[in-house]
Amino acid sequence: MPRRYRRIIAPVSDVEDTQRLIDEGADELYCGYLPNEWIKIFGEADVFSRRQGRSSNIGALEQLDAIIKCAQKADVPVHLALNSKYSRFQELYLSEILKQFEDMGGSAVITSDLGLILELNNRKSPLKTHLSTMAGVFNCASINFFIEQGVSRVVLPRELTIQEIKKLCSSMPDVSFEVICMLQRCQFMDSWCGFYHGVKLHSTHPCAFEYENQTSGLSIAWSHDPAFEGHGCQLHWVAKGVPISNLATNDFILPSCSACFLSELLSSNAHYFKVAGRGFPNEIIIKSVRFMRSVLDAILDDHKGNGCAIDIVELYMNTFGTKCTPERCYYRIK
Amino acid sequence: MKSRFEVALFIERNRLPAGSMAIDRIYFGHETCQDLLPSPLQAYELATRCIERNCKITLVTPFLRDTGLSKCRRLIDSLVSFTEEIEIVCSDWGLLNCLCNDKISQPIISRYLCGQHVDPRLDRIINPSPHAQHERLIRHVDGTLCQLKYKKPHDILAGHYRSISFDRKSVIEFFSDRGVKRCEISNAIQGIDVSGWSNLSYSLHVSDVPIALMKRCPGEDEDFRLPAPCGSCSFENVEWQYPDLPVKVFRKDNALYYSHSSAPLNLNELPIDRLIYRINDARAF
Repeated sequence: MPRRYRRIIAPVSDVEDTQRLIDEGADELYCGYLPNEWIKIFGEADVFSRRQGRSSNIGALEQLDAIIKCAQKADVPVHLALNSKYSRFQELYLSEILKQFEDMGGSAVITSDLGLILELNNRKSPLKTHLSTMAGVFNCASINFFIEQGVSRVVLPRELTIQEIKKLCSSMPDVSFEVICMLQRCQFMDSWCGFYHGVKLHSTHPCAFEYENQTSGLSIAWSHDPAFEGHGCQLHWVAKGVPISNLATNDFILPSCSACFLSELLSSNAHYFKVAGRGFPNEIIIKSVRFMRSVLDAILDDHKGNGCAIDIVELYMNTFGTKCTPERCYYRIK
Repeated sequence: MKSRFEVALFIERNRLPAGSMAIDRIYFGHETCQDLLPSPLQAYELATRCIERNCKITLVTPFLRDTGLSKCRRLIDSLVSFTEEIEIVCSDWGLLNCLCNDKISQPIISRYLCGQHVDPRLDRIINPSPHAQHERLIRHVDGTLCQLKYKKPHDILAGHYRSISFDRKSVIEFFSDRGVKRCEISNAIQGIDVSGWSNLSYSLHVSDVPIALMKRCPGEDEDFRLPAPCGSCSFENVEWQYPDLPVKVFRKDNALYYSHSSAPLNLNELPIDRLIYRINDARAF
């Protein structure tokens, strides 16, 4: 498969999905890693990447290796999300995974942690460094700071407007920019949201978790936080007696999307388009990739003057089974 | 007996309190909104009155867009031309880098850049308060009925949640080489664990802990579907209520905070030499 110049980056959480995502049009893949050895010490919250839980992360080195090998056959790079806030307590664990990921042929690390960036530089790692949206770079000077530290690609914050993105991209033509184009919008800024992402264990319907069988009595499931009710934007806050709504989008039913703005983004310097939602149900990710691929290809054909128009709203309806609304529009959401 | 702590007061809306207060330093500016930074004239007048009161001054700055960065640099340049003793608290990587490169003023890592864990719910993970009311029956997808129980975290995890990202040798040395000698942290309810590498000093914000920053303020009645009230800020703190939180959460401008002013139990062992109070909470530990 020839490598495309304008690329879609998709999250992968399972070995079985790798080929399917590539077949649907993903040009690059990214994932998280959370093995049992780390869970025993750190639990399943967002301690190693901003996505919690076993189901959202790759759980074993063999699986990560299998994903990379499968992707390499299609010349698809695999990036590792290490986009949490790290402490001195984790440095050894991080060094270990960097080495393992390098040896497996991983492509890049997605991070916002300056300590990790410095570590990658110090070890002269072959891994590229992509600056995560968690870094919160809103101006050229901030971007330049991280470029000076060896970052090769910048994932722009979701909170930028289209005009701001276009201005940044066009004023820094030598920088590779990635924008998040689908799924997961929230009123709290990625880079400065301090609500931790734990694992919610529902009382009302079955869910997946580890448990210990007992010789007698009920099996036991352990949690550092049995009371965890969700991310900060998912809690039912009340102010002045009124529930606060619209803190986060419900993408399972009506995915947030930026497809209508892709043409504008393409005309600036943004070359990489990321589907968020790592850990979401596989079908939503697959559909999102398929949808964005269709839109991107149609726009690119149109730019070449092939006149291949596409009705994005109709395509959204056909893909997700529901009509899009302005409230779900990524760059129209205020 | 002289306290080992320098005492600073973070004033609201760039207004100095009337009367005298036993403070060493005034913080002014804005942590979260570039539009609420003072003008150079306002800053000059404030700085003049502070110096007359023998108070040192610190300008607090937020994350910045390109337009805000230009405006902020003009503000800083005008203040520095008036007094070289001013500190600048930076929440923006670009501003921090510019000040370090240009060797301007005394840049400080803000509590938004230090990488501290600030979710108030972390306290119930680390501290063995009663969890019994949340232990309950849950069902696995394979049909197994399980008793959900609280698990005490490993000491490493507890240490991790009490620490900050900035507190690593490589990061401290990186910034120390660039002239950064101070970092700000918040009075997190789960406790604080920072080392004293490299003579770095820490300032502790006593009164409140910022949890999350929003791109914009909500409209009336905390409605995010309404336009943001930019230019007509209400300047009121609005409480956001949620049951089972050990602290009071409130929105101030475009940020959520929680109140927590009990001293860290290990305050005297931490490399903290400055305490920063908000105007309504100016009391010593």
